[in-house]
Amino acid sequence: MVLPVDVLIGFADGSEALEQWDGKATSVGFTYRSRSPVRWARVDPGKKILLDVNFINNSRSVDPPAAPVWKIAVKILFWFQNALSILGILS
Amino acid sequence: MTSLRIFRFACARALSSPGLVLLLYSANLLLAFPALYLSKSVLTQALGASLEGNSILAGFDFSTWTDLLSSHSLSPRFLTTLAIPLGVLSIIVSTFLAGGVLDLLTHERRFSLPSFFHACGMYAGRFVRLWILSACVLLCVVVLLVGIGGTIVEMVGAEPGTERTRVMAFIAVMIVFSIPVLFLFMASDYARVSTVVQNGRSSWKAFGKGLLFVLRNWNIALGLHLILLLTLAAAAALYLVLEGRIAVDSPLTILLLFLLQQLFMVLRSAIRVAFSAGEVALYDERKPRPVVFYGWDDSPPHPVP
Repeated sequence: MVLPVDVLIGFADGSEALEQWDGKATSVGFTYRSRSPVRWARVDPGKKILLDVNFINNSRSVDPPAAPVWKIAVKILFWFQNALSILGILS
Repeated sequence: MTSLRIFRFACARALSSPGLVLLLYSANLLLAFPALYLSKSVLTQALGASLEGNSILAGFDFSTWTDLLSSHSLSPRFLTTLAIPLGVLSIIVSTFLAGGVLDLLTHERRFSLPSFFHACGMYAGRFVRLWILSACVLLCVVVLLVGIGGTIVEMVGAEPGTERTRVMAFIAVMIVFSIPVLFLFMASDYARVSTVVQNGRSSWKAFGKGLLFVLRNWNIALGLHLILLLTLAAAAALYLVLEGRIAVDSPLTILLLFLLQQLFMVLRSAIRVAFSAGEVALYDERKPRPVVFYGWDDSPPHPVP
């Protein structure tokens, strides 16, 4: 299914540029003349295409944030610690 | 009131054994550490260079979670495949450490790693035999109770239009049948205490002593268990309140959350030590003692040879 989609591009200085992509080709390139380098790009930033089965692969960053991974990982660690502690009662 | 007095003593004993508390906490952390490592690597792979992780930082995001769970790398199966071997290992490690904990609390020794692990090794075989025996008895009782409970619920549910009655019957059966299961758990605990206090070798005798002890001191033993469980519930409630106040959206707040979680786990280990200290104190106070007969007041003096 071919759908036109928005593409949001973020720069190092915090500025953003919203582009349109007709979605007909498998990829699209945008060229900017700026002193500030591009840091990230996000396809369908408003999540308008509800048929999309995976929003995770809609964006890409030069330096992806590590904090979300740590947030979930420490929570999983805590669940495991509690579960193992409860299992210790069965010993 | 005896339960409260022993509870206070057990808390004091746990607070005066920081080495023991930290050792139990460290063992728990070490056992759970593979979960941190594995989940971090799996999540890093699943999120890749995506920006969607930021929506997780902002709070709960349903679409990101479903995308994460549906991706092949982060299926819930990875948690269960990790949980089963870690759970088995946890039971083995807890059984091994129980000997050291009870020995230290019974003989009121100062905590030192060599003496602790010496005691762990000394009681390991006996505790494994006791664990197998207790698990077999518990399994038989649970199978029996599930059979009886299932029949009762089915009989009640056989009446037409009795969905509510069926649910109520199920809850009632669960509450009533939890008592014998709790009784067996307590008997198993006191069997271990009896093994250490009396240096017994037979698992059967120890289990019998545990059963008899709990039967004879049901009210006070149950009271002590309930007070300690309430303490644990209060600690968990406090943790949940504090966790709710932390907006986990930056590396600093994630560190704060981690420290709070680990503080709770240290507290949990302290309550575990208090559990054991309370059981040892109660057993020591109420254990069957041999009757020493010195003679009547008016009996003639013993002839001096």
